[in-house]
Amino acid sequence: MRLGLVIDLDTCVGCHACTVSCKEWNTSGTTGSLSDQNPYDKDPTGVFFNRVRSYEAGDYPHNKTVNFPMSCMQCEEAACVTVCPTGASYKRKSDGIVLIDQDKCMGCNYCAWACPYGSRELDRESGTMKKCTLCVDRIYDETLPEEDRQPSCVMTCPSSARHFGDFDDPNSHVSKLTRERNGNGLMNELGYNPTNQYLPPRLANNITINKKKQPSLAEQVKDWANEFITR
Amino acid sequence: MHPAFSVIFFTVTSGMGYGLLFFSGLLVLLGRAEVMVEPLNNPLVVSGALGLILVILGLLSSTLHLANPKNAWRAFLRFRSSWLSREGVFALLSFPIVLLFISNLIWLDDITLLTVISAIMLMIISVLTLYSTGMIYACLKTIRAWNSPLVPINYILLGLLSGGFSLHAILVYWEQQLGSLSMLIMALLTLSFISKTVYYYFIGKPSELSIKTATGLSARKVRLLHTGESAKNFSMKEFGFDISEKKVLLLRLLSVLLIVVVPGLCLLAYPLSFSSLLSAIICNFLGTVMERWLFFVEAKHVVNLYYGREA
Repeated sequence: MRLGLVIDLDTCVGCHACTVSCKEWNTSGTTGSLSDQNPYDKDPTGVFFNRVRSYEAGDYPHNKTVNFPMSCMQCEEAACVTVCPTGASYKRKSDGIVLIDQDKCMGCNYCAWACPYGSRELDRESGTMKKCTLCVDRIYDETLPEEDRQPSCVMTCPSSARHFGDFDDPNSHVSKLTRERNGNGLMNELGYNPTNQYLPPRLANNITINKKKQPSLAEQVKDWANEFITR
Repeated sequence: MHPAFSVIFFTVTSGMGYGLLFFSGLLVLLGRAEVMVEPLNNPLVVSGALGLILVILGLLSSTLHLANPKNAWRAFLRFRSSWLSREGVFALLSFPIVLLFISNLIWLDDITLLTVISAIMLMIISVLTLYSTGMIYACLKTIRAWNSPLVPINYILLGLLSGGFSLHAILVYWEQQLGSLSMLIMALLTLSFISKTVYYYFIGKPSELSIKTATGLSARKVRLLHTGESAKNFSMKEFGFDISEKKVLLLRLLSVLLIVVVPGLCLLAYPLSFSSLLSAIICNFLGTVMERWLFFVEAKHVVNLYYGREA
């Protein structure tokens, strides 16, 4: 199995619900808590597994706002695991999820340096590195109804921009979506072979703009006369 | 990259320590080691011990960078894949070798085969450790300014250079003049200058990466609208560091001046005095700290692209 996410950049509305829902689930999850520093103060900061940024693609009028959620890409060639000196970071053979053993991490930040996606964040309170677990404490939980055995971010997304599944199965929902919509991984040039795929925004119809012509001299005189008479 | 002072101090100090240990071993091979009646009066014993102290100081400083140092012992476990782990293992392996080297000089009556073997081992482990320290940075594909063989070369050269100056000062303190050591240091000065200049040319190349390649969006132009953050998050603090190009240029010049030019002039002083070598060491140390600071500040992590910054 190669579990991962498909993120639809066409439908993501940038509501940050995935970010909040992720924090809510994972702060009491296996690698919780996700500590915050100065949460109600001047420079609030804290651990998040998922963050959403917004970009503008193209120039007006052919532009589009693209909301861009990013979390761990569960890379096939995970450099964060290779560089880890303690063996705290590991990639599971069974499903490809990259995890951090909180009991082994020494908080050297080296894995965060190796990650091109900024997916790993140091928890200042526990002194250990934290990252997206793909809700490993949820997707295998048999006490949950089967339709709920999905990552928290996927469950909560109001615009269905997030999809979860097995990329090793060519007929899975995520494999089909990637195939049909030309999904691509981010920063493939680094050779990390990220599992998560991003579906590019669909081509939008061009917006036609009514350009008002400069009125001719005769029209200008007419307009002026009309205005003058009504006065 | 955020320049963590503990890491900067670690690389500079342990670099100096391993340079000193390397040259101590070399001196034995050159047949310049003498067995003294009073073993503690032997410059090589002092240089070996000083090298060891510098290495230990550096390693202790590096643990200050850890957020969870109680697990630091685990860092020796993944030497098969991680350069950070390899650095730790080589550093650990160097301790018994240094002790063997020093004890041979103290307790054996003559320079024996064992002393020569320990000297060779000392030189090998010193270069290996310096190489691993450089590879910690050079193996990261995410930071273009670091992902180059020039990085470990620089680490080795600058480490050997500062160690060479230190050993020279110790020898001069014991009133032993060694012309060949001066020549070696001069050669190292030239090599360090060349490799650092080549490095600055290398990182001056315009980057092929942009916010477009990072997001994979096909539009003609991609701009950041909003980071989605109200304050700086971990990635922004760790990877974002702003410094003006003017300041960088000034610091580069100043560091080259302190590492190469001033110590070089100190070395040319005749007769070579302990004080002139001491000032060379101090200048070289400060220059190397500055160079290491720049090494971090000038390195741009690719995650910056997602925040609308350069990488």
